Amino acid sequence: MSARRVAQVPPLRWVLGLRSFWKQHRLPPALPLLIVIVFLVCAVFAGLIAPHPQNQGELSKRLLPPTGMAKADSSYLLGTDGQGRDILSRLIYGARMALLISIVSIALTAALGTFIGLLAGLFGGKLDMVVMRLVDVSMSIPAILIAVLLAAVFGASVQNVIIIVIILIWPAYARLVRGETLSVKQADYVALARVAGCSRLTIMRRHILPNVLPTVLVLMSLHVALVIVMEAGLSFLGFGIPPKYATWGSMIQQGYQQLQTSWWVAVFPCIVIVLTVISFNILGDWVRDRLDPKLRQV
Amino acid sequence: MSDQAMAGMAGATDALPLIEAHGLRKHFPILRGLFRRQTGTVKAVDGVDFVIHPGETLGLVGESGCGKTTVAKMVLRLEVPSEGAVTFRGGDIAKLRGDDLRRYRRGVQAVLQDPYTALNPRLTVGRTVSEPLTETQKGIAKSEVNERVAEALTSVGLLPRIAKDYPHELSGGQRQRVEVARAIITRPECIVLDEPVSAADVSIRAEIINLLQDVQATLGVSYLLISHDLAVVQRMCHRIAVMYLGKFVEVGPAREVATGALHPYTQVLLSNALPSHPDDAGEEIILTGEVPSPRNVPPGCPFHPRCPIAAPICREVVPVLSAEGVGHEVACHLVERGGRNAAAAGGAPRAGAASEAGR
Repeated sequence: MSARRVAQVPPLRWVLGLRSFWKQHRLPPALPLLIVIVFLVCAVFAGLIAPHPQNQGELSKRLLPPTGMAKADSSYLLGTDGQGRDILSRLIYGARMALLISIVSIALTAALGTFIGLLAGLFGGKLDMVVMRLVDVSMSIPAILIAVLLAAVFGASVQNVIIIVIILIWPAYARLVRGETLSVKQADYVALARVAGCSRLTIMRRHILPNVLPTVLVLMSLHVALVIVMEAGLSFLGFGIPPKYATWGSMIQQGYQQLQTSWWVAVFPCIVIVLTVISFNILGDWVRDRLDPKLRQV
Repeated sequence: MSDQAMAGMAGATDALPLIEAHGLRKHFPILRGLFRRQTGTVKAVDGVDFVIHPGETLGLVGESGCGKTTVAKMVLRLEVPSEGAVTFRGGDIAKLRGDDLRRYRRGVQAVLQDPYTALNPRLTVGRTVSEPLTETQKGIAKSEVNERVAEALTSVGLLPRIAKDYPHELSGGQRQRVEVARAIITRPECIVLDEPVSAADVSIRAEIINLLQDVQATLGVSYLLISHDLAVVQRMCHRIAVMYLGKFVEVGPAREVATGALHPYTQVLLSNALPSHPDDAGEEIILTGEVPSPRNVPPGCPFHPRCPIAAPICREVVPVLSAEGVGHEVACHLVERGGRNAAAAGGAPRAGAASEAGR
């Protein structure tokens, strides 16, 4: 054994203190939390934070590279796109749209799908059969086809994107929750709850829902990514968010043609999407663990 | 056990029955194909009558799949009988509504086999234990609930502060005690014990049995004890009912059934039970074959294909329970009045049985 010494830099005391405090109180993972907070602040205060308007560009300043590169303009930190619009500002406004679409549609879908799944799993019989066939049907229709159809009928607007997302992903929740409900329903504590005199509604609320919810939360955090990407696809086809709003998806769609000449137009929104999605997934895992009494140490 | 059993018996005979089952049947249809045609019937429970008196323990013994648990579920109103009825204090439990139903729920509680799935992992012990109380007595004061929870936990030998814990923080034995605490919090008159100790370690088993006997002594509660463990049943029960393929084959006072079993199936069960001392081991009767499927019950006596002493009549005529002593009933063609197996009358019944059963 060679006794080679590895030089160790003593870590700062307050850093250690903060870390142990964090661990002790089982606070969420710091970096993802920070990213999500920045995301939320940008979404809410976009108008105050963004240095430039989201839509007005100066054609004379089109495709300026980000600060640090040659020919960069220091007032455009991340450069400009093909119409001379500030990328940073559009990213900040895009956060608002991403938040609105993903939070609203996922929250609504999860509530709806979970409720339907619970009913189907708990009551079974004809209701279950009807619901599950409906799920099969909506899962077998190509998503983009429904989206185009709906957008063609109702026109492109923020509400319609939310409605499309709900129609496309509710079956995932209904099916997941139904399966979980069927397995939880077999547990002895559900039988004992009936012996104790609980009504079906109480059993659903007190005994089944809390044991199903963690799985739903994880699916919700995964769907944040899906919805952002779905919105990008819809915007690309012209059926998504109207072009007057900046969204990350539409920024990528507009920028990818110039990837070889001006990479920054598409790459920055990509980075932002990846960071946001990963952060939401990690936080989703953390919430699930926090809800599980087995993992909740004193 | 004997003193307690006698006391229980004496008290039992003149009191009104607490729970009665009349001609209880549970048939599950077997549905096949697209149109859910019924292609057969599983006769899980096929005509069972019994009575539980206040303060009495009735044991239900039998192999797995014989319908014991289905009987328990029907007594607990978790399954609706296909035929027949369970009555609680004279009233058909299937017809109870509202306040009457809540009174029945308060009166009849349960302890189930597996302490690991019997407690909701997301509720604290306090919430779990108090549930029967808060659900059947809406609007009960919170302070009284807490008091009753502490009282119930104390009487099963747990510390009241365990109420704040979650099930995963408890050991198997503690969980079982929590289950018992939950079952007694409404001060019930009857508790259905479905294999209460078969999932427990041997070391915990005796502890739980003692606890259940203490609870009975202090609360005067009746038990319907379901088990395949004859040692447990003999120790805890006043009366024993032996079940085979959905029917009772022998019912009688615990001591009589344990020492003077008349039905060949009961004799087999007893010969296979572990003796309390190795030297006490008698000759073991090994049954050949499997328990027939309850969807295809053999004609005549359901036990005849495996019975070591089966006679021609057993293949054709279904035997019915008939009295062979005080409170002792047997369903066997070959039991003569006076309680002996006719076919094995020449020699000792067990020896004859063993030789015919073979290897």
